[in-house]
Amino acid sequence: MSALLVTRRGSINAWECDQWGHMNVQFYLAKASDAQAALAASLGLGPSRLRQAGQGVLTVADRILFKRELRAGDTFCVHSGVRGIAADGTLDFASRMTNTESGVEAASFETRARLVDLTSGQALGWPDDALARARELTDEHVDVPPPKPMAHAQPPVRDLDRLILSYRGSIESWECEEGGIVPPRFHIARFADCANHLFRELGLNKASMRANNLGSAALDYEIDYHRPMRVGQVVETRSGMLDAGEKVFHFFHHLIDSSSGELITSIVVAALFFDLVARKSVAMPEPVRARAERLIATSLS
Amino acid sequence: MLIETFLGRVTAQECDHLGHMNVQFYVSKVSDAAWNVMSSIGITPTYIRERRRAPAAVGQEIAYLKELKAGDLVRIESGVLAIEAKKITFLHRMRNVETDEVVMTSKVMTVNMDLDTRRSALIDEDILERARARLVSELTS
Repeated sequence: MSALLVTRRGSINAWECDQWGHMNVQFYLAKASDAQAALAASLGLGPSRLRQAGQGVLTVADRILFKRELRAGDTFCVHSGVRGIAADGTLDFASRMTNTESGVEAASFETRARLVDLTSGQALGWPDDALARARELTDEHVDVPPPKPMAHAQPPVRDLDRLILSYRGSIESWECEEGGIVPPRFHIARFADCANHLFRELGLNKASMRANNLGSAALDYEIDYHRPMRVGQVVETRSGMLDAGEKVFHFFHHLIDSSSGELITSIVVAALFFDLVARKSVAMPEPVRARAERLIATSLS
Repeated sequence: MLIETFLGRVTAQECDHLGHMNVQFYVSKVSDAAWNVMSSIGITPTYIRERRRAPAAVGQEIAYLKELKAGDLVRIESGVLAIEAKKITFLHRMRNVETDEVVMTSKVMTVNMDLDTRRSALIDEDILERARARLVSELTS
């Protein structure tokens, strides 16, 4: 990882772990956002400059592969680099989170970001000096190649009312960063909760999963942040299922502005079930599969 | 020599009504740094889980030198200040990454604890040896 910079270092706290005994997905995103801020600073876009200009580096898309679970007490490090500059003005970053004790890669992040005016949300061109620095840092990073495209059916984006209503709420001020914009962590926190409602549709609840030593783990996220989410917005999430292989299954969530009906964020998740004792993946139980197939038919109809 | 034990960012959620990072989050970041400096002397996550021993903080001195605002990037460098048979004192120094100014220094006094009996315990000799190699002066700059 010689071409990548150290952009985040720390440890996993017990309060970042969920009922499955590992760090909840939202905290991977929180740490990746910190890493992105450090990388932006290395382009000359440090916090004081952005603050003075009323600008921010906003994530517009994320691809995250969860490779190994991290548990309370583990220490980690994130390395990041610039993958390229797209014609539409977005910058592509690559980040890798590693367990510093084992040296094993825990997660990879491919992030597309743009510079925005925090008040209007308007996209801005990168300053010349930042662009020049980004070009200097741009590298294929052949030792950390980007993942293959996620293979799945496309989630529907129309007639969303027929999908499962998996969350309804509003955006609190304490969730927002500067400029009143919600960072990725709190999008993902909602999606993590939505998954439990989706599992309920599959006939699963905490008690039945515990009784069968069944846990669930996300493997792969593909996220599109369509527009910023801001304090005071009333939002809901519509969820559905795309496919169910022997072990790996794909589902999706759309986070929607309840007032306007506009899509805020969409995510496709690849996940599997695992044995809570052996910490190994297991096939989707047959009764669950039967319900999943009905849900897939409804979601894609 | 001090080593980097934390690199992160001040979030808006960590700031109080005075417009700067609340004191509790300096300590939170020192706590994150502590696991890394401990790991560097052999008290790794695996060691703690298997050996069932770890340093527990029994005292802390902090000097808050500069305020931090939402979005600021921070780095902590840490080392070992003092060693006894059951005790290690760690030094942590936090810098604002952008300005390189030292914004906080902290000494954390620890006693090695048996996680089952919840009582103090001797520190293993190989850990002491690694800790000695990590010794720094309080005036280390």
